[in-house]
Amino acid sequence: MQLPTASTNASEQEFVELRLAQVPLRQTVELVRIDLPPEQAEPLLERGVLPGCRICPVRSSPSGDPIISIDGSLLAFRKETAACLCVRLITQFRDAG
Amino acid sequence: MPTLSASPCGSCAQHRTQSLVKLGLSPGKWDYLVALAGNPNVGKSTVFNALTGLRQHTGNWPGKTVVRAEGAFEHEGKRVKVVDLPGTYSLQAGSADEEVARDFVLFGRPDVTIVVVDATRLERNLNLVLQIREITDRVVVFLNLIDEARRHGIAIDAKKLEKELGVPVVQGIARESVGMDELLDAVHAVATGVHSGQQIRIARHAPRVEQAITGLVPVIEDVFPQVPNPRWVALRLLNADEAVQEAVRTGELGQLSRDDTGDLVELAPEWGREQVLDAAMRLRWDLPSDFHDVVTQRAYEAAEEVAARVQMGGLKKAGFAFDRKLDSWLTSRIFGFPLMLLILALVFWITIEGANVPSSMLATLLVENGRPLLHELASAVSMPWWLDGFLIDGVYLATAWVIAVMLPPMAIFFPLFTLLEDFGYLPRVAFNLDSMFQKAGAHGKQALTMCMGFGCNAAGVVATRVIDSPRERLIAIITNNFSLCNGRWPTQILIATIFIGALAPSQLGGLVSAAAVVGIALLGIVMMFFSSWILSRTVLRGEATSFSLELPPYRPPRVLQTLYTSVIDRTLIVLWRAVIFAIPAGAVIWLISNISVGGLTLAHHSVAWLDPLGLLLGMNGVILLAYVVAIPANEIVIPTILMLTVLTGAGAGGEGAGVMFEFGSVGVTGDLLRDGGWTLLTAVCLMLFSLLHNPCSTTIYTIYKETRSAKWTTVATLMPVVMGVTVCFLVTQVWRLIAA
Repeated sequence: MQLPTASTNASEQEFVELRLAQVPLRQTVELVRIDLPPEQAEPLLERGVLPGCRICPVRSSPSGDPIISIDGSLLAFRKETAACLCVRLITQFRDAG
Repeated sequence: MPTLSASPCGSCAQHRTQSLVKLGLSPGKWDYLVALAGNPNVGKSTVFNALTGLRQHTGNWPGKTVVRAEGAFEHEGKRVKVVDLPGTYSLQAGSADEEVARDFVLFGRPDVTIVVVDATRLERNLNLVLQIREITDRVVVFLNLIDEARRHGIAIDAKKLEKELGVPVVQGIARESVGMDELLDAVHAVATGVHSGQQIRIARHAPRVEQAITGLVPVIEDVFPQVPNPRWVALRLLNADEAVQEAVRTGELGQLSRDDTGDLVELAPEWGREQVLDAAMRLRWDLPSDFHDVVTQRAYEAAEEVAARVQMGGLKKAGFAFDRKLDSWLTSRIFGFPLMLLILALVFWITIEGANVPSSMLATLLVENGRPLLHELASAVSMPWWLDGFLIDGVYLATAWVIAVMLPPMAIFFPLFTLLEDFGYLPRVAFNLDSMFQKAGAHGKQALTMCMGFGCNAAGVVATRVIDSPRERLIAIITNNFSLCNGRWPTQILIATIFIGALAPSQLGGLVSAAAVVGIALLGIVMMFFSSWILSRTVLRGEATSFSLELPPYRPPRVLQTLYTSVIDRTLIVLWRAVIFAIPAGAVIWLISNISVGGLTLAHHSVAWLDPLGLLLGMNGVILLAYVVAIPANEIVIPTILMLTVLTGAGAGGEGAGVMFEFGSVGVTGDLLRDGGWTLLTAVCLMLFSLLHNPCSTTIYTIYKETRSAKWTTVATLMPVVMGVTVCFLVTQVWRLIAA
């Protein structure tokens, strides 16, 4: 599902887009896009995983599936799902802008 | 929490509490109908229990309520029926349990819908509130868990939220019955029309969408005049919501909404239904292609905006170090599995050690002392021998054994398991096991239904409704029987104690038995993965769908309440069921052991006939016959085996003496079984077969009800038996090879 990105300022285009699966633990990132078909993205949206929100992988399971912290609650994903979440780093630079 | 409930007008609050009469189940007639809706795991069932005085099972994990529960109370002279709905994140139902909730809110025409909201996750919860507000004005919002929100540093301006939503908002803590009076008043006000919900339309659709909706609404109203919310139906149809399209196609949409007399309305004509679908399809052409995404996005934005306006931030946050620390152990890469096994083993060890003494006391009381006493009484009233035997040696003895064998372990195991559930451990188990379920092509939530199966397989099968993919749900249903249920725990525990625990020095006996039972339970889980894997590679081919699971915060278990509910509700209900099945089984056992054909009793004939097969599987004819007699309920397998062993082993079947029992403790039971020719191999094979055989009659019936398919019911029934026979045969042959 291609939801509109949270903000699309030209100055921010230079930021490299990452996949949530690549983000190290305890690194807070901002969700840009969910690359999943609507029927699979919908449950995520319903649980508050929305473009523009801040998410932080806090743990990973015995098999490497991430647990993320979002809006104060903990959600467990599968690795495959995490690989479909497009995120970007939140830097001081951006906050200042 | 006293700080909140102490209203300035103390007498008033007291008065109101007194005016609440909890009516419990089935009110018969009611003045108004209240629905409890909300996201999963926000405390709907807790609110339900607080209002009705019922003890609907509650637990700290999402998806616990899968069917709707009904109850009633009386407040200010009005009888109110309450319906507790399964949790749902939105009204776009995905799984079977969410559909129950959606259909009821949409078409059940509740007089008031209470939306229970988790105050710590307001934004996400408001999404559902707004969706329900779109359908009806008769809503009360109950902001639950405000104590947890405070710990998170969140406070919510309820008055402001009330203005934003145009409906009453009540704050409270359902676990501690805080805010219930205010909730009752608000419900009363909305139901009686004192507080009429303000018409607020959250303007959030683009003009072109609004245009399409306005175009479609008259068509729907024309064909389905009874539908209370044509605007919502229109939007769903434009969105190509398959469930709503199907409801229109079959006319179910009109059927679900009853008219005021409660009768079903007439089925809308077919041409009309087609007309609605055609119109929706035509209008959809004019909409932009990203229409669905835009609508979804707007809905979440609206919730976000409202939440931002009413939340007061900047409060001090309590530390969540404990939760995080605990999670870092319980879901750790290294310690996650060992800790899970350890917790499981600990629960069994406490059960085994704790149940031993009361079990033998009950056996002494009911069997050793009770039976002779009853015989004396019977002879005092000069009862004929056959009636005396039938009633006392058959019916009474089976019942007494069921109680002695089952009651103590259940009374210990259930509360312990419920405490873990209340604490929030089950979702962590599901999380730990998910990757294996995924590899097996199954759904991660199958781990939750597996845990429910540890209590009762029938309950586990019903719990599979939380799984939205039909393929994965079917796998979960078919393989649920590999969760050892409470009917089989006592068998496992008793046999492990007698034959395996006895191999170890006496101090370690309990631990070794517990380890053996954990081993069998683990084997069950392995078999579940294995059969899920086979199924998803063969007849139920497919890949695992993505899933996400919310890990709820740990909540301190309410010990006393848990003890009370799990002993009264679960233990006694299960025991009662066992007794119901034990009575006829006892009668059958007595009859087959006292009716002789050709000099030998029927039981002797059957045992002799089954013996060759039994021996091939490492067991004997007695055990197989016991399994045949015990098809109605697994609980009575052990009592049946004991009765049949005494009967055939000692050869004292005839002459109307009935079944002989002169023992009361576990040790003597063991001696008896060894005299009956039991070896360690017999014990191991019995434990394996107890794990791997057909589900009990209740579960089979439940599987049929849930799948509506004779084919899958047969598969679910026979597959475990085939596996059990194969495994027992292989174990026996290998064992004998090694022994020889």
